[in-house]
Amino acid sequence: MTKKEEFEIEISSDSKAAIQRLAIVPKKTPVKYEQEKPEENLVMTFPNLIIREIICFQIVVIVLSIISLFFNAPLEELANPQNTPNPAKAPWYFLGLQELLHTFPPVVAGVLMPLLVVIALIIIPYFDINIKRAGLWNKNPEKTLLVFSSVVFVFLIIMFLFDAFSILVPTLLIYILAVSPYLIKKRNAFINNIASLSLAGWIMTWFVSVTVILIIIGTYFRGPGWSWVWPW
Amino acid sequence: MNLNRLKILYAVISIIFLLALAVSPLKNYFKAWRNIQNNFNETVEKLPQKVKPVSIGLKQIWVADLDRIDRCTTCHLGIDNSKLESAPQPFKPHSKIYHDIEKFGCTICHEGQGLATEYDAVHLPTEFWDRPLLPKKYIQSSCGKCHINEKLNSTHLLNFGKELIADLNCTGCHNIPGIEKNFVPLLDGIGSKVIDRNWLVNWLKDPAKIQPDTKMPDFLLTDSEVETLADFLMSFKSFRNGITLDALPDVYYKNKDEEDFIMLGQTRFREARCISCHAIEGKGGKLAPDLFKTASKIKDTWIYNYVKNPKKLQPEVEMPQYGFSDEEAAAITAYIESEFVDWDDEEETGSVHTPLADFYEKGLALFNKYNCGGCHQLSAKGINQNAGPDLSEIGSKKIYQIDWGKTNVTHTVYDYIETKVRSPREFGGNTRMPKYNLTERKVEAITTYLLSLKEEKLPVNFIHPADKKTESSLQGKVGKIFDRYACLKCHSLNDSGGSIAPDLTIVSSQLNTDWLRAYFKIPFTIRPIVEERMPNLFISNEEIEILLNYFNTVLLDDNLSTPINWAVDKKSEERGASLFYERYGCQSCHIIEGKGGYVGPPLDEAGSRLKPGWIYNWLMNPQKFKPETIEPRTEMPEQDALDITAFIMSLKKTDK
Amino acid sequence: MKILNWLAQTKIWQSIFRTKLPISTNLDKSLVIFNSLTLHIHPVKVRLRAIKFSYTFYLGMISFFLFVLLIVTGILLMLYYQPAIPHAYNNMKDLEFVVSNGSYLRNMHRWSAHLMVITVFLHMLRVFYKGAYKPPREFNWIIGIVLLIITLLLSYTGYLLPYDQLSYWAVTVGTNIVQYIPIAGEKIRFLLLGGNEIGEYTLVRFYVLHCVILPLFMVLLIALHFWRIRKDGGLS
Repeated sequence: MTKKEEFEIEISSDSKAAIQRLAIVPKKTPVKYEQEKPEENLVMTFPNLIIREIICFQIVVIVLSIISLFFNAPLEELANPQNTPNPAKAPWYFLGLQELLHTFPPVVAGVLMPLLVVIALIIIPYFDINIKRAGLWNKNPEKTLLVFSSVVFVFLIIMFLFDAFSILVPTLLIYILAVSPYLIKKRNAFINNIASLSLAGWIMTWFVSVTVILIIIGTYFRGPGWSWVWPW
Repeated sequence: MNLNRLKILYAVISIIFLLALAVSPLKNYFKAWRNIQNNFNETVEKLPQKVKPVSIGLKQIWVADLDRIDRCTTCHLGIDNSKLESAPQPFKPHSKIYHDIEKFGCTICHEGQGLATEYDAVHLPTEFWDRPLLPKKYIQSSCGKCHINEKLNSTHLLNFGKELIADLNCTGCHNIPGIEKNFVPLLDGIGSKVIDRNWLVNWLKDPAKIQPDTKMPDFLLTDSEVETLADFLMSFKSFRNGITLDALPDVYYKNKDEEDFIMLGQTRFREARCISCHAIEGKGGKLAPDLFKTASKIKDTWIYNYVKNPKKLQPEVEMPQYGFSDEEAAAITAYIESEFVDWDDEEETGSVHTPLADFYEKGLALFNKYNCGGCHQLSAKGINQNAGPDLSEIGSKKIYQIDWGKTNVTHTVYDYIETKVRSPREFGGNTRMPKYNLTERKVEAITTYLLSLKEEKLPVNFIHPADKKTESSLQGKVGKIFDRYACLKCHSLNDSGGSIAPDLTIVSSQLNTDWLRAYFKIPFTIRPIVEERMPNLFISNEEIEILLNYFNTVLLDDNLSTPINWAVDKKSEERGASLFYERYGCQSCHIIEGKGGYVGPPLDEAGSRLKPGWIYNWLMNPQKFKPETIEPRTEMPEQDALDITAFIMSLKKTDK
Repeated sequence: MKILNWLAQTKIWQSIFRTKLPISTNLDKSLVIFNSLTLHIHPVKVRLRAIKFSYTFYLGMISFFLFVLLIVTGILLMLYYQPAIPHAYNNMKDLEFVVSNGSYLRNMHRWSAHLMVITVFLHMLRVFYKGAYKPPREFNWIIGIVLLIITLLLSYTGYLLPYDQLSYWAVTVGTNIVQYIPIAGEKIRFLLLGGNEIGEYTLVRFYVLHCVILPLFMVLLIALHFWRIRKDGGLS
């Protein structure tokens, strides 16, 4: 925070002593002009970028070759509609969804939630008013805490009612992480880092961690009848 | 990173990139089967016989009918080449094979993953392949897939398995197609049959301990279950349909300890050839229970009634009803009572047992739980069929359908069936299956048969069902006689019946009526080395005439005749004799006048026993009548056969 | 090297490759980009900062390369595949045991597909946290989201094709979710499966989706995605 004195306004009729400038700010300012671009250090695409691309491609092929030589793609027995495996699992990237399906009514988990996620992802660039991405606690921390906490609390209650602990726990953790810069006054690099995360950043972080945790749970911690099992 | 370092990195990565791409083709080139084929070509070169080397490449058999591809011949290169008998595996030729490999492929019989070309994937039980290579000991089960109920000569284990399944009455609880239910004693009146409750308790605890040859398995009952069940069974004192036991005649009580009386019983017991079916301490026939310890098991009244008329007490039993008089039956009872006693049996202590108040309900529940009614009939209300699993497609049971419990049995269908047959409770769960004391060979046989019961959809032209047996159900007087003497337990008629004694279908074309009449009266063994002989059934003259009449009118083959212009003369007879002894050397198997081999039946009195038409036709083609006979088909000229027939017909019975 | 230099001077070489060797001046370097159909998607000059690994982790690039690999291996796999029951499954066995490099191809295809789902997702995260979706790149962000969804669908439709237990039940679970869509759910499921249960027609439908329809959209959208990046001022 800068000190108030630094913003003192000089007023003088002498145009030489205090130069008067007129700035016209249009209502919509293109964002790309807002950020000052430092003088860019430009290099030739060939060979600088091209060589990196080729190396990248080669590494991708090498890594995949090694994986393919050591791990065979799974192949079980011929499909048999009579033999339902317990549990029948979707591909891993849908296991989060399947985990949701287990806790929420199908219409909510199977249709509403994925739809909301897709819509939320799509509208991000249009609704991100906080262009400068100010940290969550930059402005009016008390009010932020109240609103933020109450929203999270209501959400947690709902999750609790649905027994959705696989969502509840990560949400709680993210919440604690989010409010920690407010509570801990001592600063270090880590706290500074998370203090600078905006609300949108926190929502995304929350979404990603819940997704990842749900997928991990669905993949490793679910056994017959979608019951909880330990993978070891 | 500056450009120069990037260039170095690029160079290094490019080399690794090329190497990474080369690994897979190399791996492909060094596949095991290629090595094996090279090996084959080397092996073949060293052999003294000329065998063409193979061109390196995958080999496969495509069975169009089954839409199946087998790549076994990629490595098993000498499968149809008898010259490679001395080559090492996998190049050895197939042992005697009954089918064209090109038409049938390999996996239809051997199972396993025919598509694979790697040793483990093909041969070993692997995850995600339900049908691993069938162990050699079970290979006959694959014959049974197509040759349904066909009794092939080469599938002795499969046939044995089927016999065992019928014998042990597995169908009492399981549905197994093509197997008939066996006789099992009905339990009505068991309370009046067994000697005391104590015997029943011991029996239920472990039947094999009391009667080692029993077919009743051990249900592994708890002591309280045994007690309840014994109480329940002992409460059935009366017999079915209001039948009552005849009292033993006074002569029995008067003479039962008399030597002469017992001797009479023993003589009748011998003449009736009881031990043809019943063993005594393990010696004798296997068709009926061992009689050793019978007197310690069954009350004498029951024995007497049973000897007189078995079907009165057990309507479905196949024991013949001998024509004993009351006295004879009583004497046999006395003989049994004196001889077949379990001397080790401890006398009951005399304590009076009082059953629990609800023993009947509990006993009935147990009776139903263990599905006793699946085998034993009992006229009581509330008996349900509580059968075990259907086994009609057990051979294709899927691995995932099997509950392996805590066993560490390999997860294959054959291991499952084998373990289940050997020790049924191994897999835990709620199984009620009793334990049979089976030898390993029996376990293998049963497993083999069960494995052959598959739901596989094989093309129609592959399936070889045996001809449907026509149950011959004889009616009228003949039927009654056949039934009473249980003729078809040993003899067969029109392909149904027993296999112990000769077939009767064309008996009248084979045997002389007079000879038959005498034989009914005093049966004797024709072959000196065969122990089992027809029992003396004490059959009445009237019944004999009815039977002979029936034989002579029905059991004939009209085609069995000698050529019309055949006339016996001395010349023909003499020529026949020389043919018999010199040309065909028949005496090496058949005995005449005390000289000759033991393989075939003696021919001393064949002239009075056999009919000439039969002898002639038999000589022309023995296998036509008995496919399994070892008498050679000599393809002798018609005249030779006629002469030999004349010679044999001259071997008449001479009253000495 | 001499031979190469001589070769580069021949008329045939020069008629095929517009670029003249050796490449020494900046003009030559620019011409490499200009004269190439595939490379001229790049500007002649790029910001040094933007091509550093730590700036983008090359996630978009890796995703694209994975897609290229998937197309190549996928086309080769198509040569051995019949969308029919039970041939589809037997084809997998053939790939494993008979086709030269068959299992390598299949493994590459499978693992690339899984990896691509991960890299595309990570790419999205990177773009989000760097704020690289801001105007004027809003629409390119949306294209990116659609590309992520298509990637998932491609992976999912491919999942059924081996027709083993794994694929059958994974697809059953997935298509059961579809039927929860209000009103049209059952109809959509029927449309997808070509029947009420997974069968021959499902296999054909998924095959066509996996090999024709979805890749087509993917290629078009990737082109649009790249073009927009270029127009919006390169990597950010």
